[in-house]
Amino acid sequence: MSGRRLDPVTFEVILHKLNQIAEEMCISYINCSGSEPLVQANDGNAGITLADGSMVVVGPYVIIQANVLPLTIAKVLERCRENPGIGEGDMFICNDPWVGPIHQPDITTVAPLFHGGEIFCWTGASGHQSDVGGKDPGGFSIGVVDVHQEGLRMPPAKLVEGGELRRDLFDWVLNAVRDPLVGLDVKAQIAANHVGQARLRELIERFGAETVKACMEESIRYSESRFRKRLTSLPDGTWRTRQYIDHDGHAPNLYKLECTMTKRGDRLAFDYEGTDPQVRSQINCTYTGLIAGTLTPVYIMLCHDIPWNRGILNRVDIRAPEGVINNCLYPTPCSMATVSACYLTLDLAAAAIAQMCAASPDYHQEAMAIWTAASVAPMVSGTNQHGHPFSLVEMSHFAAGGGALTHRDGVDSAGMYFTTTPLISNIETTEQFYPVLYLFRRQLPDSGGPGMYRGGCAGEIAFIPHGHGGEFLETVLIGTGHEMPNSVGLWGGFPGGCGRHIRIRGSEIAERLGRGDPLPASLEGMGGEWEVFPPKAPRTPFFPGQVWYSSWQGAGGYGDPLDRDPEKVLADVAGGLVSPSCAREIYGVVPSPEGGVDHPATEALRERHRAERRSRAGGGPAGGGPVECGEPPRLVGRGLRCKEYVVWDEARGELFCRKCGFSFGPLDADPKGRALWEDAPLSRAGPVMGQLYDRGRFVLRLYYCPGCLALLECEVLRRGDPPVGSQLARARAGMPRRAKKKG
Amino acid sequence: MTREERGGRPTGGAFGQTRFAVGVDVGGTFTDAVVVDTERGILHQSKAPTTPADLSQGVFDALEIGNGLSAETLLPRTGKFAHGTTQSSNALLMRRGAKVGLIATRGFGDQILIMRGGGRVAGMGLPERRHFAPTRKPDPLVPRPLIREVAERVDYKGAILTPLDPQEARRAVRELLDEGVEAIAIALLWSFRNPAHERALRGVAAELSPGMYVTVSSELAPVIGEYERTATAVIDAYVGPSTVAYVQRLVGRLQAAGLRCPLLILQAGGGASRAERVVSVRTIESGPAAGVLASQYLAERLGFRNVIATDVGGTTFKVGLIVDGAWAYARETVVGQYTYRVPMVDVTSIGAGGGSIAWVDEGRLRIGPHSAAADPGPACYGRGGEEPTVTDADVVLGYIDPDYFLGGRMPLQAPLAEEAVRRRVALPLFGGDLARAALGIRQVVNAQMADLIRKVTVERGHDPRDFVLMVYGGAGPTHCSLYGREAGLARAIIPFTAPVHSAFGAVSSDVRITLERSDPQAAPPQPGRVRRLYRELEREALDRLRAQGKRRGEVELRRSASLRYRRQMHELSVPVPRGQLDGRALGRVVAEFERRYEARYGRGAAYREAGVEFIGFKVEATGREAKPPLVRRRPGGADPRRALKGQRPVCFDAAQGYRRTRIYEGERLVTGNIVRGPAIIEHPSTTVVAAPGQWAEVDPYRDLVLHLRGGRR
Repeated sequence: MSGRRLDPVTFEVILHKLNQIAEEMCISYINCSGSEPLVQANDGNAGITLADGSMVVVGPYVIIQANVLPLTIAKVLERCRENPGIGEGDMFICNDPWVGPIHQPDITTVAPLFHGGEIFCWTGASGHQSDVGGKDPGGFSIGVVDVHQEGLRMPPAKLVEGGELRRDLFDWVLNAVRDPLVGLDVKAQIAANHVGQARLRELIERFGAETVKACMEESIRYSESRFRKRLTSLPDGTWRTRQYIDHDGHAPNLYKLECTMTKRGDRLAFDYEGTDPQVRSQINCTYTGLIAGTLTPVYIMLCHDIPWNRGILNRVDIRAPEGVINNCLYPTPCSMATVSACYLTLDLAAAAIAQMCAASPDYHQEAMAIWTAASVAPMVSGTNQHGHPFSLVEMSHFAAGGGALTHRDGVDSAGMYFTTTPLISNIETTEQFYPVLYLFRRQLPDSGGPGMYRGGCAGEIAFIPHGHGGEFLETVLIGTGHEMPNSVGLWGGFPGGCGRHIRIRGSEIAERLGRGDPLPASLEGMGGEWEVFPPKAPRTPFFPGQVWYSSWQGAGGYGDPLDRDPEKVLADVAGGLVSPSCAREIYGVVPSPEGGVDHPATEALRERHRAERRSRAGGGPAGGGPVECGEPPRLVGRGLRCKEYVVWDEARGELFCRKCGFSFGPLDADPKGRALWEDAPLSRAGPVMGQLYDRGRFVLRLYYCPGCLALLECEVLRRGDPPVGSQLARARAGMPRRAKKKG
Repeated sequence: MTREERGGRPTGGAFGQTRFAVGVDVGGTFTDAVVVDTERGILHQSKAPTTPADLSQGVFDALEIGNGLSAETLLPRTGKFAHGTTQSSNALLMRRGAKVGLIATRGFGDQILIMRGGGRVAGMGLPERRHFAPTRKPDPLVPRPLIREVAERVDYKGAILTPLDPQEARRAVRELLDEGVEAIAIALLWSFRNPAHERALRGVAAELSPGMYVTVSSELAPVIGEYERTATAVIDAYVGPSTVAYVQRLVGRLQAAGLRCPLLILQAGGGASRAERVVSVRTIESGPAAGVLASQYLAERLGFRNVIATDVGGTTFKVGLIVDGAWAYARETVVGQYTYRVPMVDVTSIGAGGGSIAWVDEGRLRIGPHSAAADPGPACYGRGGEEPTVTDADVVLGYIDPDYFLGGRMPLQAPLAEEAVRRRVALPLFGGDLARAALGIRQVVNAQMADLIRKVTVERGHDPRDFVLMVYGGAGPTHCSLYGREAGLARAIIPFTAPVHSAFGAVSSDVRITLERSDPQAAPPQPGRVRRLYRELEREALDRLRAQGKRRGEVELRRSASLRYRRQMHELSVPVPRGQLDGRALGRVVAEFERRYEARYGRGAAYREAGVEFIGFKVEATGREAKPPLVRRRPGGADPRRALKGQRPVCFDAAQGYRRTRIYEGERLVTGNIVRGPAIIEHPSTTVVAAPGQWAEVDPYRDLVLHLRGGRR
């Protein structure tokens, strides 16, 4: 607690300035950087912390990149105070995943700001580099078994000493990486810190150090207080979520990550017990990825109107056993953390938070199904058409699909979930710098998870080598979710489509180019021989005449697709986002010959789909047979619910289907326990569900209301794995635990 | 409502046989006119309500000056008529544009829908970007079924890999025509390198549908980046037909009423274009550009080279920068979440203005981002608004006289303002202290404005203390005493023409063509290639100006180039000398780039080892127009007593509470008058606040110069 209370006007004025300083740092950083992921896809951030590293302001770009700053600063304070010492004008660079940055290609530079001979606060910038040395170019090394194969791993090191760049250290970094433009980015981080510190000094001069400090501390206290109230107003409960990683870079081994989120009163706890042990491959993340990944959806879904700072973390408990995939120990490799373990940690937390929000009448509108759930990117390296060495991390997948909401569709090519300001490169900009020629980049039909509200569509790209004068090119592939989708739907929504990496040979591209013939503009139109690659693949030669194709995961849908407005389905067909066959098979919509919806035929087809559900499904109280239904509950709009259709009837003390009145039992029951269910092939959710890379190991478990056959939930399940369940405990603080009391 | 400036010695003559120069600017609420009588050296200002159904009616209404001056008497004797319109902006923002078809390169028709993955939040402030759930893309300007792809491909060098098939081109155009499109946008990959295919498609469209409105991306925005280039072509197609129809209708009406001179239309690049040559997409956001243009002209007249132009409206606060007499161009523009590229005066804005709503958020005093806009408006408007706004705070503190708002035409209800501020802010946060609450609202919003001023200047490597502030917009003069001082400036100029500032910008405008072309290349570039590029750009600019009646000798040419380190995405603009460019001259351009880079990002930030690149080349060609002759007045003494209209209690400081404060009638102040703060100076359309310690003087052009930091005269 700080000594004196600030007046609200000064507090507001300074808080505004602090946010502006953080944004200005980010803009300086991105403007000065020469790193492809950063300048083309904004994969960086900046922030301001207290003297002890407690987060004060998160800049408006990739949230994870800011979340690692407090961790880095804490370690600098711990390790560097005595030797080499922390002095005025110093800056420390670091990319050690056990210190701060999630994986080695993210480099972080933090700088103490001194006032009156003491550290007053810190600034920092962090961002994704185009290379970091190691086994493979581009920062992600595939098929490694320990962290030392992954390239440069800097502990906190004094990059700037008393305002002077240490040339020896700078040169040492450049020596360790393939791309000399990493130097431009390191300088950009320094520039961002310079800008931030200059503005903070002005602020201190204007308001006095004590007032600025009081404001920083007050903002943390304020956020914590706001967040406590928010948590209190949300329903208590336990939500379990699961994700899979479908390849470890060595072999198509499967790994699972699990999360149990418990909300009680004003605390939120994430426990990742049940997650598989760490792997000797690059898919893991350290505790830094665990924390940064978990906090991201907490900020986005629960705190959009609360300043993002340390105060939020104060109410959140994050725990994972030591030595699991998302809390790996030295020397386990982790360069692909952001594509695998860290990203999926974010997805696990997001899926749990979404269910909690959706359950609440007050936050129902804030819930979102999972956005594009992991990165999928081809990376090309070699020498470019201008004679420069390069490694291109192709970032088109940052045009990610947006998760469906409880009241409207997700946004197509919406931008990555974990950044406040998403962006991808223009085709022309990429072709100007890199020896590639794109055949197409488009939104991918049927990649958006079907649902009453559809998930946002992802996209697909294909490119060929071009104009590089015969230099040798190589491709490295990164991705997760090619065999099974990670972008799970919410409450009956299907998952978004899977990722794909395909190399096409023998499609006569060179000949077509030679003759000036039209180039193929779709995967299907490519001809030739398709080689479907795993989501992660080490260096593969990329020869003229070959085509690389990639598509990334779409976003999850919300609610039963059979309840989607048929007009919207046909609009999607006209817009090329849903295929006519999915319109019929998944949505049960029949167009009339004159155009528009054939409503009677649509109703009939939807009834037939429901009847098929009944005939295929088992479980439930009567195994698909007729069940007794009561009165559908009257209270719906402002009530508590635990599925789109399963609502809490406070008067009767039970959960009911609001369509047919079927009872799902007491409040703390998991409705899955009384639901009908069937295991369906992934292809039930559409044509981009990993069909090209199928190994027969996954099913969709579909849960239906035994009364009306509404789709309640759609779970992605490895064959043989038990389902995960969730229970509400009570609607809100103060509400009696009815069910328990009865017992 | 009209204002007239009397007396003085005419300095005209440039207007030849004619007598009047007219500027008319259409705003959201009012259409403003400035009429300069070059014979008598008189400047008339007038305002009329904007007429949304047919904007040209408001133009004629504003020309009813009175005293025998009306459209009929003015127009036959007008030698310059310049006009800024919101026609195109309205069409875009209200989605009342044409049904547009787009032709794109095969495989890339979705780029305008993908919006670089950033369209969901493009142009939004931080609070909006942080709240993911409500964000969405705009409804497409071209729905997918109206996008046609043609098999053609050009590479980064401009080489044609796949020639355009004429049959397919015809088929694509024919299909769009069959769909009933009203305009066609053509935007192909790499067309700025090789426009052959785009031109061929335009030929096909012209043949199949003569008179169809067709836009070509390589002509509108020959710059690298297919999304922004396509968006430029699509937006022009979307707003073009209605803009052209509006301009033609206006020209027809003006000519019928006797206008003989060409109609000049103001563009966002800060210059005007003859009506028949207008490029629709360049007229979007021409209003803010006109504000900067007017500021530049006024500042030049007063001898100021560095100016921060600030416009405080009901919902937004806008800042433009004039450095060493020239404004900068924005790299790109975002309107309605679409990012596009045309030469545009760099104006930055935030959602803060008189209508911004103050609210309490658990112990925090928040202002905005929500605004009461015009309806219901601030609580004091009495239209049902219950939330306190910045304007309500101004009323509570006594700055705005409720009976003299807009010159008394719109009486305000002070008790409603007090009630709103008391209930929503004073009680929850200030123990019921109304004055402290209202002062707090002002302080927070003014700090946000000052923050933007500092950001815009400091971020571009300048020191705000080297600038003077130019203040306009309805709420600007009421707030500049605070935000100007907070930003560190010494002087604020409130022009005599502030109420019709954009119209004044129009009347003082030149005909200007700004052309930019991308030609990315590593430094040092081949001098021959650069010379050829500038030669081509300058020839085209001169040709276009000749078509607008400007002879070579009347045209001033300026060159610049945008440079960056290799693989950066952000360029800095650097002036390029006129005359023969050799290796040495280009080397100096590179050196100047590095100097500017370090000025902006700090010593040691430069990194020549990365390599420097030239990306874009720009030529600005200005065909000078006669300027309205403005008359310097002789000083009439320092004592402002003649303008004193009374006293009322006004609060500047919570500790001192309300003090009896002198109120002056701005209209009656004359050159040389000095008003010492605390004081309120009331004009029919705005109120100037001079805080204690500050003082204002009336300059020879009857502008008010407010000395923000006080000091001795």
